[in-house]
Amino acid sequence: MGMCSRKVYSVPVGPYHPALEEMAFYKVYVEGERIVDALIKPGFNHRGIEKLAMKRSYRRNVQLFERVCGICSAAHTTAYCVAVERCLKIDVPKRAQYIRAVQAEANRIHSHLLWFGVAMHVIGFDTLFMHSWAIREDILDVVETLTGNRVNYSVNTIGGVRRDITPEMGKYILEKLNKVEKGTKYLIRAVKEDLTIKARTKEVGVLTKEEARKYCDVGPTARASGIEEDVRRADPHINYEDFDFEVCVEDTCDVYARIMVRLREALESIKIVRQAIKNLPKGPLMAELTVPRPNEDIGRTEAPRGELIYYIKSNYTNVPERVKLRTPTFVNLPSTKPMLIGDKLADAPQIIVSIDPCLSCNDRVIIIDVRTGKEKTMLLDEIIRRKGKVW
Amino acid sequence: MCGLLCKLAAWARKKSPWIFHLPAGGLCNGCDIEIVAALTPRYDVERFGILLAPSPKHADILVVAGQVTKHTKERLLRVYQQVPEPKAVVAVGSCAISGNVFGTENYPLAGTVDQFIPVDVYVPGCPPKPEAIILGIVEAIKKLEGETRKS
Amino acid sequence: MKVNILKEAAKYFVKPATVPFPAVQPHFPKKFRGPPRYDPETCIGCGACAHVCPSDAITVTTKDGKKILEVWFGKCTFCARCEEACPVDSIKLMEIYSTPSPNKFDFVSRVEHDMVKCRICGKYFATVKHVEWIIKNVREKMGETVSISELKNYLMTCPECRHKVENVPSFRKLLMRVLVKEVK
Repeated sequence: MGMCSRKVYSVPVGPYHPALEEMAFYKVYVEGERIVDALIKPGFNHRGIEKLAMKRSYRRNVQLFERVCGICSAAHTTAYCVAVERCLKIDVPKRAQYIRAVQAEANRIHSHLLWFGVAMHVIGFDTLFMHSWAIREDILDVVETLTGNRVNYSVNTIGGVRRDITPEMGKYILEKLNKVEKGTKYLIRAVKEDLTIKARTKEVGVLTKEEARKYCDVGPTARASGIEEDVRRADPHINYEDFDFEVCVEDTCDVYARIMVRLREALESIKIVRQAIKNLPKGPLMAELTVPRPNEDIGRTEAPRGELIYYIKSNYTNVPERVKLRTPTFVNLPSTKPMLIGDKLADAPQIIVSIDPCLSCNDRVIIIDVRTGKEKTMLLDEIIRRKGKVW
Repeated sequence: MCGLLCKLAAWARKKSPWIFHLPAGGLCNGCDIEIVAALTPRYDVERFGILLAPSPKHADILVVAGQVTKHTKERLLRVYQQVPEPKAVVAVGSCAISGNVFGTENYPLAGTVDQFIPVDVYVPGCPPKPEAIILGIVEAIKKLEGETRKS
Repeated sequence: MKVNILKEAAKYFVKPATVPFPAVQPHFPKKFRGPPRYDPETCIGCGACAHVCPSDAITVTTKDGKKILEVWFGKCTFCARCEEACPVDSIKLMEIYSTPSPNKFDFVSRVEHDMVKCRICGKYFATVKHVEWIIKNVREKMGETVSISELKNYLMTCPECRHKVENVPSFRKLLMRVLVKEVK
């Protein structure tokens, strides 16, 4: 049987699919069980946020950008506020920066635990999904006490923060963090010991270091491919230089590595929150605001999914002239393609989930892949051969 | 015979309504994760028999979050048509009710959920607490019950 | 390994993670951000809340000499900026969760105010309570330097007419006195 006679079938996944938490359309081309090509069409969640932002004042935009994504809402407001503060030359007091760090890290812990639960659900391990979400409720209690809401924090504002951490609150948070730490360590142990998880995740969805560099991956996806990069180190925008933490890197490049990176990062975040609450400096919560002048600047932060960039251009009004976002999913999403190619169809959901796609973040731009990807059997066989996998 | 079967179906539906979770487009995921949080150990709606169905064809209640974008409009209608009668729709969150910060005039947005499909219960909040979502589903069950009686 | 499984199983018999929700009401932390409500007693109808609202959930309408402030928390972002902006702490975010309803216009808290007419052009422009509140505050700050009647004369004039303050000598006098006091 010649190579050409093999038939390529396309399997549409989405936009509403039980394996996907959000709507996105994947067209997966399969040859037998093995995936040979993939086409991604996001854009169902496009809301025109950048356009809206150009009509509202700087302060009112904070609440808008918080709703770019409900899972990493703290990261979005932090990056936006940092960008505006750099642009308008506002010096934020240290206490406010520490409170920002606390909520950003609490956000990271909650996001990683959420992701871990979803990843476990996708590989069919629902017990750990429930465990991880039960642990996550504790960190949500922390967030609720800190900010007054479970998902949208609304604490950051231009020039500072709107809520203080009182000593009782600090005590309560530390108490809850002990619980979360215990839970996260339990999850790590479960992942390390359980054979089912290893079987479903090891050597699945491999993204080599070179490919990760080529696709410009960011955040945990890049760190799981052995690239040591972290905005908290490179650009310590909210006093991250004061905290002692480790940048977690794994070099097995597969889904398993991405799980381990995220869980270890959650532990590092707990460390940061503890340090921030312990050494919370005294001082005001808000800086004095300045009058907008024509200027431009970027603010970036390490969102739970990777590097998040905001670009602001100001003029003489209190409305930004241009706001541009670059979310981590936007960079990471194309790299699902090299991960998918050569793997089995049954592994597709966990590979797609493994980059933690936050499509509500991503869908500010409508990308349509113009590649038709039709009967290119010969070429795709070459790809498989290059990956060194025998079919 | 049919009467008995209908009664049995109505009883089963009341005791165990299946929900289908449908993010309708313009939303931030906040409501989605709160709907999923309602299924997890802290709130555990499965103790009431409420189950997340993987397909709209198995569902009794449609839980819609977020407002409708032009991209998802047709798919929303298609999913709604796939849900068998009697059905109820719960709109969760400010976006589903009114559009929230995104408004309704922006170019990618088609409108709020109730402009396209009939909504039975609204749950306000940004996002609503899981408790409120549970109460919303309970309201929808009451509506389902009434409808079965009528038929 | 088996011992571990048994241990885990035993834990879940002892301490359930589930909260008995409908029987026990959930715990709300201090300053939880629930649905906003107006206190009609204290509200002065200045409209500061509508000005800062990020999602335009608060609307101010004037009709037949009445000013109606309405917060529709079906559109609210629950950010508490109205609470921050309110000068008299009238609008408050309740520490409860919002209950669902089949009618989306149930989620409304509204407050109505009588308005005052402009002394010169006869147009409705501000609420009675707002003017009273300003008078009270100015008196507190300025002491007896300005008399109530003088202040009322000034405040009962709509902004457009007040722009012609140069033409009204009594206003000029009043403003000069206030300014001098402030400089001191």
